[in-house]
Amino acid sequence: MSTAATGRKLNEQEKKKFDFGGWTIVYLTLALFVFLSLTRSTFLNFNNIHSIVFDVSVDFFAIIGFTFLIIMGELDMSVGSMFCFGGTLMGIFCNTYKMSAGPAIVLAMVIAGIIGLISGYLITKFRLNSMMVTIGVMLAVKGYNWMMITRMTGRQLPRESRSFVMNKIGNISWVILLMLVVAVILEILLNKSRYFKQMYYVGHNMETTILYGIKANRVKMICFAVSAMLSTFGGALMTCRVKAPNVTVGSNLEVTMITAAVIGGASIFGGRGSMVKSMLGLLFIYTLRNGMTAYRIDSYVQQIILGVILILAIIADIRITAKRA
Amino acid sequence: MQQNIFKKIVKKNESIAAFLCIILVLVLTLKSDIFWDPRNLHSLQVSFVPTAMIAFGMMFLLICGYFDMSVGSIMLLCAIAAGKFSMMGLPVPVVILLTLGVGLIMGCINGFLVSVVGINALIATLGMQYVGYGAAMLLWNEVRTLQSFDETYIVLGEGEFGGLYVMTWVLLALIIAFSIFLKYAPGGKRLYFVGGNREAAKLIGFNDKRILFLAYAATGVLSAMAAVFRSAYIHKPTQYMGEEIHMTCFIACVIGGGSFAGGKGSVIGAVLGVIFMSLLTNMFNLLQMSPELQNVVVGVILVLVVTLDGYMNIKKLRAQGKI
Repeated sequence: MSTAATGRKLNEQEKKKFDFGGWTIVYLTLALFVFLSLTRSTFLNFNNIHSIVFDVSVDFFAIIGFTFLIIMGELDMSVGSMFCFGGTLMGIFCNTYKMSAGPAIVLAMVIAGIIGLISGYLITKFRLNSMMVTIGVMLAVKGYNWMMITRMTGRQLPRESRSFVMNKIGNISWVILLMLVVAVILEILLNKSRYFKQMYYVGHNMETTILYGIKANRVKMICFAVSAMLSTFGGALMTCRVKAPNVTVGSNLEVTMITAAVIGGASIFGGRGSMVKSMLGLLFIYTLRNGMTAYRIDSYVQQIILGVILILAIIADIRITAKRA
Repeated sequence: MQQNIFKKIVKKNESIAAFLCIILVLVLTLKSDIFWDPRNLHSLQVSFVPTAMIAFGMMFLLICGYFDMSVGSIMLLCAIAAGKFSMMGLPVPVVILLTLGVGLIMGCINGFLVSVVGINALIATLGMQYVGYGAAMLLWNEVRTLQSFDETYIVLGEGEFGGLYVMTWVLLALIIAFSIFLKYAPGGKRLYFVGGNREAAKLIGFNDKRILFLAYAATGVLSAMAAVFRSAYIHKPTQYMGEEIHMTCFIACVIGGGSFAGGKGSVIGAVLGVIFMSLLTNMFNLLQMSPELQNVVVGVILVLVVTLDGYMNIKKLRAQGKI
């Protein structure tokens, strides 16, 4: 486990320091689960858990690319609007051009990938701050979403594309199973594969990796494209689930993503992060929201709590980073 | 000699914003009959002044190489807090002072998190954005019933003096004061030093943490001031105040010559940037273009300006032989 986060072998002493930050998220989520199932009778039933995990699984696709980027020390603020963009394009392709869901999603992902590549190119070529560029992309895409969605108001997606998300294998939605498979595969790849480990090296020290012959800029560009494509995929699934394109899909998602990734042990300074733990971070946030709603906590108070958690997580991150240095 | 002066002006950071503003004014004059109508100019002033106040704070932070995403929430919270204070029956000056105090507290929390604790500015202020919005909405339920502020409070928003609103005069005073502050006062120059090279500034002996903290506090107070004028103009606080204003200010400052890398920027640049953004909104209204398109345009402009800034930066580094 301890090689996971840096991609290099650590000695015993370092391992100990590491694991403190590493497993916190598991304990937190477990504690929250136990607490909620003991105190709320409605919490621990299959439908409730399934709906929490389904929400996590849709957002998970957006956090894949986000985690890659955060490992390399970059931030993608456009995930939320890309998420919504998936829904918008689904609406356009399925309603206007009468495409079926599969090709529509693929086409949407290709378009998003091109946008991601462009922003990645600008960021790496001109050494721009990734946050600023992706905020610009976020605004532009968000405006486009609004424009198209107001034109499509009141039109649901065709039944065929609405229902395919609801397909189940056994008793569990296929999206959830896909998430679990993808998460495990990516986690293994991040630990073992030469190509994926490059990200950690880039995040640790970009100058050195370039000297060693890793094409850091190309890796980053690809990851920006991947982030945009997979967010679009998740957004398309979410839109199928809510039945019509909607501007509120994916709003404020970037904040959720940062919080989830950081409480999952990623560092905003780059060089740390893990796929499964980011997923657990998302699970923690959604469980917390579910629990707060079960306790009838006002939605505005929920916002305050989430904001405070974000700040606390970052303070912990700074502490851990300072200790390691 | 003539040419040199011309070149100098073009090379100034603010010239992009000025150029964009001139284009917009020309387009608006040609395409719309009511642009120069006094009523339109009045509404422009009202939308422009609060944004410009917040943009000053944002510019201070950008000069240091930082920024604040929570200004919109601070503005909302302050406006609603002002409503709450005036419902408690406090006299108007006290209401205003307390409201500015709320802004100061929020700004200080931001400053504490960023400069003392050392959190990434984006994340700390995003978190505070959430906290501020949540707190404002909690208070909103109690303030919802407020019909209108006191008459004396409303004068701040609606009062006119010599053809311009009171708030515009305040803004003009602020422009002059801050310009002098940034250009000649040692405090203002410190901002540039910290933004230009923080390590060097620290070695010279500047207390970079305190400077940053004060910049955040000032941003909080300026947001509160904007909230006071804005809410006075519309007679009562609304729950939609300050939406997206952090983005507007941020983009305005970047267009007006601020750089994310720090060490650059001026008050005039911020003003020109805000004028550009207000004119853009005005153009979309007057020419009856779909308001959603505005986001697209602003986003594309932001990407272009940021790219241009990065390109200039790289060119400068190449010239210095650093890469």
